[in-house]
Amino acid sequence: MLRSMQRSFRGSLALLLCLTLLLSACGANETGSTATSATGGNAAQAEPTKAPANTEAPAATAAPAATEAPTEAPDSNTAAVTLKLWHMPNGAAPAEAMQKEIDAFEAANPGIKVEPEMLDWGAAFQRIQTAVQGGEGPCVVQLGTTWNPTFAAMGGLRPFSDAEITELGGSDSFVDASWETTQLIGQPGAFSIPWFADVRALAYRADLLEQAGLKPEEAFKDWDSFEQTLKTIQEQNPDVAGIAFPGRNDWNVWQNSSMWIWNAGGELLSNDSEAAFNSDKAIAGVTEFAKLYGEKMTITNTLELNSSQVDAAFGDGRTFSIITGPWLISNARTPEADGGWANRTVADNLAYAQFPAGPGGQYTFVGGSNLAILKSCPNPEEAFKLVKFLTANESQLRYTQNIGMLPATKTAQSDPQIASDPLYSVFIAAAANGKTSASIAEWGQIESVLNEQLGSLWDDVAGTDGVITSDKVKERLDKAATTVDELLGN
Amino acid sequence: MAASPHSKPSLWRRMKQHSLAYKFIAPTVVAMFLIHFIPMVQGLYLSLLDVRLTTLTLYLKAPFVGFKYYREVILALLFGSDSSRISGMLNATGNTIEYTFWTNVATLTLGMILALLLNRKFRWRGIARTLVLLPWVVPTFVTGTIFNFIWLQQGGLANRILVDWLGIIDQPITWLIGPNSLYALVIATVWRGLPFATIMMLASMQVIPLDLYEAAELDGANGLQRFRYITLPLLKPILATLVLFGVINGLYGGYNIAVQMFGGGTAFAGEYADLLVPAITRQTWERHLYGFGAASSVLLMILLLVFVGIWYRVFRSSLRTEGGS
Repeated sequence: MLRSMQRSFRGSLALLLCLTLLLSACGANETGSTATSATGGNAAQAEPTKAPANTEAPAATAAPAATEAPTEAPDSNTAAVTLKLWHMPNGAAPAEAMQKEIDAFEAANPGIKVEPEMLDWGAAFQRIQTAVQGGEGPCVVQLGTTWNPTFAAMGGLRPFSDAEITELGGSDSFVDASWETTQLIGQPGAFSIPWFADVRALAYRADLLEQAGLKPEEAFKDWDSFEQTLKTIQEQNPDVAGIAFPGRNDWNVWQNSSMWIWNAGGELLSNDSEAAFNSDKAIAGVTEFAKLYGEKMTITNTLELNSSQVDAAFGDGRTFSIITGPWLISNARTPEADGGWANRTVADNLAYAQFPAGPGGQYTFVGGSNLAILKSCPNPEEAFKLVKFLTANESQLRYTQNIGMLPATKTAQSDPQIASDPLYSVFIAAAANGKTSASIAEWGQIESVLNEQLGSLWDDVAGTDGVITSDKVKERLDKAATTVDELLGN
Repeated sequence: MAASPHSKPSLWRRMKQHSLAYKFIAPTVVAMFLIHFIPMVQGLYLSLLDVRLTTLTLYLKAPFVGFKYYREVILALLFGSDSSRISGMLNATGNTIEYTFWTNVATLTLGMILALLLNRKFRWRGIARTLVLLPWVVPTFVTGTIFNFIWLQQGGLANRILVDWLGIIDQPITWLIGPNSLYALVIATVWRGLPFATIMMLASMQVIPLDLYEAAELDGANGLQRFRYITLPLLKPILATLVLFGVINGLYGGYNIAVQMFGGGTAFAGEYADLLVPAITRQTWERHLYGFGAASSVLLMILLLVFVGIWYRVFRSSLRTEGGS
């Protein structure tokens, strides 16, 4: 009896071991299946463009990830120099959009061959970090704007010389807020070159606004008129919420709040060296933002959505306005068969407005991506040619429209293709009042702290089921400030 | 685990005796040394260094700070801390313990009930057993995605069932944000882990000799008594193993599901549902506090070792085959 039980126990242990092996096999599989599930989730949400984002911003749920493999095998013919280019999935058809630029570049530069590799946003930071540390990697790399100072501080980026910057048209030829992101405070020169800009604005339904008898310039003028507009729209359209924005479940947590902080007259950091986002003005701004939920001007479940779900809610006509970027333009112009919104009411009535001004002004967040050359690149001259090509007018206009972003150069922005487009023009105007993160090496860490506390604030908001007090906001932001000051060595 | 208590021959003699077997396992031992042992020692050493963004390129040559980070965390444990970096870790520790407790209680209880049901003879037993296994073949990332949809306040399946179909509550519950988020995470984890527990218990139940039950029945034992005095004691070894697995999974787990279910790419599930591994990951990779992260990982490992020690004391007798009953 005992013997049989002993055997049975051993048997179950053996079984357990086998199952464990199986389990670990499953585990190994899971990494692979992230891609499928992510793309699946994406398809389920019928999102043609994924907020392709400015910063390290892939909503994990929707990053079109199955993309690590280079699309084409390197061609080993006559090309004298092969440049490796790492880029992220920008736009709805990222590989195709990139390949168009590469083809054009190679045609213009016969001796240079470009080998692209697409990195998932979620993996890109670490891949680049490893490349910087190991000294082996691509020549040209796309950086989320907030990453520039980090890699520059690590000593991994080859600075652009003054002569090179002049050759690109000079620093003045780029959007100011974008150019700021190429710097590392305390060091001269630029470590990357702006590639495209991601500017935030309010998207709204022009038809509903008109029905309410409101003019956009009045409706979105300041905080009071904005809130009044949302209330009016909700009264007139019981099935449509005033506004939707993501809560904690998103990469854009701090970006969304920062607009309210800036417009209240607050700053994120003072002198790029000390936390300032817990000033009275900043607290007032964040409280004003949180109030939208408490006073029921939002979609009821807005706090559990991510950016692409918010975009989808707008596409389905469930909300009058959302906080978003220029990529909706390509949604509106893409046929429904390809996952776009063309022919829907919302597509015909898509309009943008700048964020309502607060007591401190009217600012918006500008992010996007830059191009950098790694120090380890053996062919920096050829790499510079590629950067020059991608930031020149022809490529800027074609690529940014393909991916639904804003060009980073003023010349491209003032091109009639963009400037006379009623939708793009709002972003160009907004970009003139653009603000962005501080160009300091610690920014990535600061962002993480801000996301944690501002994200938890949304938990508090959801928990109170009402209006959040400024005391609670202060408590959160003070906590974040202590940690940020600690990170900054204060 | 089922080590024999008899005196063992010396290692050398056994190696000579079974030299062929040792040759076969040698590659694995070498590989494990390279893959497990060296990084582990490196990680331990890293936890004594001040590795952060600016010193990352120095890696193991970064300034030595000794037990600075350990002291920080332990002092904060005793006296609290203003810094959200540390208080976040403490909060995550509390959540992790709660998460581990509830996932284990629920998985073992429900697993036992399911196993008992599936051990009975009924018409569609084969199909039922296969269906029970299903959640287990779903990768954890997919589980997280599925549950993200289930928990949605508007249109999510959970609220649809609770409000529209059963009418237990009037207002839809917010699951993914606020105080309920920990339970949202626990339930998703239990759903994923239940099949494993059920199968293990079922397998053990099936090797319990039927004559034991027959004898008990002759002696007039009712169903509950048969369960209490036969099934449960004989399941003890497997329960012990499941508890061990469950606690390891609980303390080290939750990451995959949290990433997909709460989204945001940072696996930050909010203060209510933030767990230790996601918290350490955030500190390490987003804030580039590699030394602090390594120290926190070591402390987590120690927490787990303490648990394993207690576990071994509690279950030692059931694991020893001779004392099995």
